[in-house]
Amino acid sequence: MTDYHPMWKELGMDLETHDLLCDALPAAFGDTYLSQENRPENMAFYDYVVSGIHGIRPAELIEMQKEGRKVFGTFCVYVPDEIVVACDGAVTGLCGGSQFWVPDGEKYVPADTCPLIKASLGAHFGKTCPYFMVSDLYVGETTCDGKKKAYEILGADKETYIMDMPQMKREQDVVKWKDEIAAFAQKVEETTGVALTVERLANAIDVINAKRAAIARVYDARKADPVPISGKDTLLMTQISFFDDPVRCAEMANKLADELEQRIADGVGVFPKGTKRIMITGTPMAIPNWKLHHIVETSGGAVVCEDMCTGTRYFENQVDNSGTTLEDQFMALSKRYMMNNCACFTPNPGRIEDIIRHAKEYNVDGVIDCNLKFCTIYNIEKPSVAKALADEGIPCLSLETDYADNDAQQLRTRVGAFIEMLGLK
Amino acid sequence: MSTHTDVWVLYDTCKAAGISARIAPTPRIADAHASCGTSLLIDCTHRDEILSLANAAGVATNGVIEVENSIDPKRDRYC
Repeated sequence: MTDYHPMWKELGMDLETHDLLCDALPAAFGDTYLSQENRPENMAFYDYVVSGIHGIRPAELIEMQKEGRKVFGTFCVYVPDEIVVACDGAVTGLCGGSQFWVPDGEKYVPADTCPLIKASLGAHFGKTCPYFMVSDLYVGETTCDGKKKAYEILGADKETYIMDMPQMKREQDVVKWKDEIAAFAQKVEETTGVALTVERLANAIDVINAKRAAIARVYDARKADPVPISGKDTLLMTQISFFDDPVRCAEMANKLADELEQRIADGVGVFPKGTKRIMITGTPMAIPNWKLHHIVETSGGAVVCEDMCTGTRYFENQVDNSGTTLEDQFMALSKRYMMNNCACFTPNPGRIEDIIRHAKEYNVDGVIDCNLKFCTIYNIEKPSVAKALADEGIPCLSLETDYADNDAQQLRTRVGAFIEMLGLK
Repeated sequence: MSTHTDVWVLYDTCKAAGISARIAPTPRIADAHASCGTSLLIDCTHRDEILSLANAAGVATNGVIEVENSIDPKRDRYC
């Protein structure tokens, strides 16, 4: 068996504590994923990645660094991967999705901070995540107050570049984000030593657009009834997409989509036809946060869409690649990324429109609007989301949770009752 | 499994032979030295057949470990 301990030690990780995290993964993954029946065969790649989640990809990134390439750790879907890929760098997601990291994070931020932020800080300062350790530069963005403060704390320990995200969606905000992308491009050029050219950026836009198209195919397959893939498996694919090489990511997602399209043709599903179809919206679900999906899918429902950053926002809308100057390309990137409807914007009608559109496209029976505890912006939007859904006659369940196990039974009760109620409609 | 290549070879071999198998994180009882390892999850009834296939394919394994009733979807223990 490949022993990654020497690599982790070289990275400066806390091996003893990290082993405790490795201890927990097989049982959690077994209960959550391997308990499913009739999974698509092409989920094997994603199972493989999870089985070596802290070994396989970090080892690849280290090999890249030996060739002089750089690794950029990011926290948000607004950071344009295209710029990094164009300069021969690699992007890796850094958001923490495990309760394991939360206590270490609470040493640096108040306990009433969202668990995603606490886990991310905990993973960094606890030295228990190789993706943090291997990153040459962290790239943050101003999408919430908690993250802004967290980046100050991270930045005191490791170089952290911040992109100033506009808070509105006026024309001048799109121009502002274009200028932020241009400034980021300069930083990436300095870090990688690679000069950005129109041709390089055009190629990178093609690569990331192809990745988006492949993931979109998998999502499109979920519109079928019976649904050919579980929500949990799709979530895993999406979560891993944040870490993987984008070309391989597209290849694997396309292979999975091929299989799903064949399943649809054959009438094969992972749940019986007519299983209540649930869409989840709210705060993103960083790996290994699988709790809500698992509870829904072991309570009689099927998750068929995620209207969130670890969902539709990650792949919808292609970047226009017709620009002939870097300025054109930066503007095309800005326009695409500004189409994402995070709750950080004000006003934010786009998110409501997306939720209603997705609910109809995926033919959902009900929506679960779930935010992580202390994620104020998503929590405050809940009444407007519920009202818009009620106006469309779509039932909505509002939930709040974190990464801990101790509310699982309460969630089961509420989710189970919600799905049962959908059956009475 | 000894290497990542081995796990893929044996997985593909099982698939070709029509035997159900899934790649999975190595159960900790098989890996006291927690190391993020890959394993192949199989039905114990296929144990001998799969070991023969592994032998024939030149796949090196670290052994076969029986893990009875270790998967419980209602346990609600996340990581």
